[in-house]
Amino acid sequence: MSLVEIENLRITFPSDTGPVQAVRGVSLSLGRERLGIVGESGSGKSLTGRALMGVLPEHARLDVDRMEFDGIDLTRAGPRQRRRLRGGRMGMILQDPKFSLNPVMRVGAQIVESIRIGDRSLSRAAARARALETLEAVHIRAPDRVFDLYPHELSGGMGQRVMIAMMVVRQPDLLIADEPTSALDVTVQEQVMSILDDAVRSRGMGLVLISHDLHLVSRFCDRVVIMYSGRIVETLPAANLAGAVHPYTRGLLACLPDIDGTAARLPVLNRDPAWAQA
Amino acid sequence: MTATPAVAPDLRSARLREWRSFARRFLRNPLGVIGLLIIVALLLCALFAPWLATHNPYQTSLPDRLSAPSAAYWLGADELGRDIYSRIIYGSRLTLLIVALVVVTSAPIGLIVGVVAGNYGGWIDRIFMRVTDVFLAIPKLLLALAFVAALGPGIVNAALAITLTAWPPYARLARAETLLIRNADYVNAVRLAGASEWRIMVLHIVPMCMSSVIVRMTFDMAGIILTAAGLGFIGLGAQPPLPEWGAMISTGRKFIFDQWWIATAPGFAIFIVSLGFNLLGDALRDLLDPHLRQRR
Amino acid sequence: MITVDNLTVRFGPATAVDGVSLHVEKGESFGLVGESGSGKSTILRTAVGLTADWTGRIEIDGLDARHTRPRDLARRVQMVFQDPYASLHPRFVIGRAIAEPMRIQGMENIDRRVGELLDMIGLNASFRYRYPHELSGGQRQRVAIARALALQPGVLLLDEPTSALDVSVQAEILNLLADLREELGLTFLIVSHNLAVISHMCDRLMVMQNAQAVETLTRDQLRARAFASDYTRKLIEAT
Repeated sequence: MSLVEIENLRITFPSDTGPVQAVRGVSLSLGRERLGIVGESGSGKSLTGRALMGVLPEHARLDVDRMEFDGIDLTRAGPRQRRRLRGGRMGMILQDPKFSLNPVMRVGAQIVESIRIGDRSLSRAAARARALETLEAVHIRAPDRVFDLYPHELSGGMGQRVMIAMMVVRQPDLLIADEPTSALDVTVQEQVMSILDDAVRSRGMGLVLISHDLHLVSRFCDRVVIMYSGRIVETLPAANLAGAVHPYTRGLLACLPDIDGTAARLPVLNRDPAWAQA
Repeated sequence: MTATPAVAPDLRSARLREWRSFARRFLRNPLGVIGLLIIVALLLCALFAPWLATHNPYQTSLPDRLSAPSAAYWLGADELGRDIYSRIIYGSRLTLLIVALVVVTSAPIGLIVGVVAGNYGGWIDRIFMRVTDVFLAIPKLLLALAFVAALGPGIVNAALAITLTAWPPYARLARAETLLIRNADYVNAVRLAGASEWRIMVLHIVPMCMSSVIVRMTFDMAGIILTAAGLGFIGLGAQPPLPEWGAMISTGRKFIFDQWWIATAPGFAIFIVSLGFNLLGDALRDLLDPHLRQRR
Repeated sequence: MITVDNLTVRFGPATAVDGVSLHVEKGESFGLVGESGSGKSTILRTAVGLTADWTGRIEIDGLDARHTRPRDLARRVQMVFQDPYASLHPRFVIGRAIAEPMRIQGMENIDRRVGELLDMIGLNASFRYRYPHELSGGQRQRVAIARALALQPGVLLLDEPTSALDVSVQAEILNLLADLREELGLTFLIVSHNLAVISHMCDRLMVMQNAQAVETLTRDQLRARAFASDYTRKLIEAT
């Protein structure tokens, strides 16, 4: 049975010139697998993730025929139930850890709090030990030291890993990661992705990886969904990006420079208005 | 991104379009519109005072002294039998005069001090900001009192006194904004083109400080009105027989239990006008404050 | 065209660039690649006078960067910044932003030049009176390039010129830059964390790590994987 079912998701914003549909009829289903959502800015990929999480911007209007998480009808879940789900069974990692960590609370205390939200029976000492373990698991070299730091004392890469640690300790069934590594250096990206990968393999977590980076997504996901202008234009097995048939996907792949590419000019994407329609 | 906007053929229509879009967003805030209407009403009162007033504000009529609101005296008459309604209408001119005097002096002084301090840094910054600190450390009313006591009471002196206490917050504000703006890439870009520091400050930094200064100014106007009324109340602002609202309250104080309208009417006028400035300030802040704007 | 000799830049107690030397020939395109904090952007900013505390020697187009007035240096070298959302003055229309460097230098025929520059970067005349917030990221970066070219410098310093842009827009901007370099005979010094971008755009590159130069390679050496350091290999594997 699938973990997430979304049918015909639409998200609308009001504007000076009337309502603008940012997401226009997206349907998705996710098992305990790694699903990548790829698109450029304005494609609606982040909004799709936020809608599932229940954290859309205030003025957004959401319409959906069906949205379920592990059999729970999210369209009927009240704010309280949504909040409980967000704290426990669903997690989200955002691009910038600064917005997700409490700036006046030490990192360790925040992780301990997360652990105890998930498992209230745990003692303080046991939670602390678990927190240290987790920090080590996200490849932080001196977990004892980092435990006592404030978020502003962390580098970008470290903050991002702490954020991931906080999400992983709650042992969610579903993790939505929105550009989790685009603020990180390439050599750190690998490590961070492998942590997420671990959680999927060992615990059967479902992962939605939202990114603009086709290659990253194809390396770490089982399936890739390509979004353009608020709709899904193509769904592919990640191993078979080369088999993409939609001209948008093919264009995206072609316009990336390559270390070994020899062409003097890069192919440019000619956007066909029909892509936004069909 | 917005959809492709209609093409502006020249700079003037481009600016006009910006203003229209600003006005449209402003009109969406009903409280801000109420504030604006109050301020516009105040301006109209000041402008058309002779036509709006029913009496000469200085005309005494001892038989009618302390009379209650009636068809002849809409808001009653004061201790010399002058029409309170007409005095309030004419008083709007004094209120606006003081507000305008203070704002056109204090905001530019503060802006210049803050931008120069922020942009140059080093000892200029230290000296300018310590001077600012000194002014901030002296209680506002006390400084104004001392100043008025030295120069003698009167409207212009009251305005000068308020200016003396009103500019430091602008300097603080402008300095804080400048510290951010001077390192922005759009300022670096003109620096790379060889622009002088003066050109950078005047053409590039000051326009970016303006929105927060305007917001602060609008809020300040409410405070200025209150301070001016306070000075008038203790007899150091406008002098009799000028129909200044604070001074009017002051004379009405003697009759507050039996003829309450004498003090209440000008008090209400002060209340409405400062409320108007505050509402307008709130609305402008929502639209102009760069920190709030990013959140929307 | 560009010579950097034993450059060291300090920010307080921290050393951002530690004894880096490089040389770029006229008409060449040279890349600086490395991770955040490696000091690559600081080299560019120092070359145009945006940092204060540095030692060593920088020479651009025959001018000593330390002893040349910014006004004179401006006609030889200009810079394009990383974030097109932060590099255009929000209160100035596009035409004004492009004209500003020419006004500063007291040039003539500014009006006509603005038209030519807009044409050169592929934006039509209607953009002249638009505000930055009405433009997409790619369009803004084009405007920033036009502004940098307004003084007809021979050297363009590009600080992560496409890393804030979508990949399809990145391709357009990289193509535009390559065309402009050929047309105007420009010398490029490009900073990027993206090895593929550098390999696409540059004849030679320097890999940097922790404020120091790791090694300098030609494009052919990079493609033949003929590098000496482990760090370069790590970078390539991760890309």
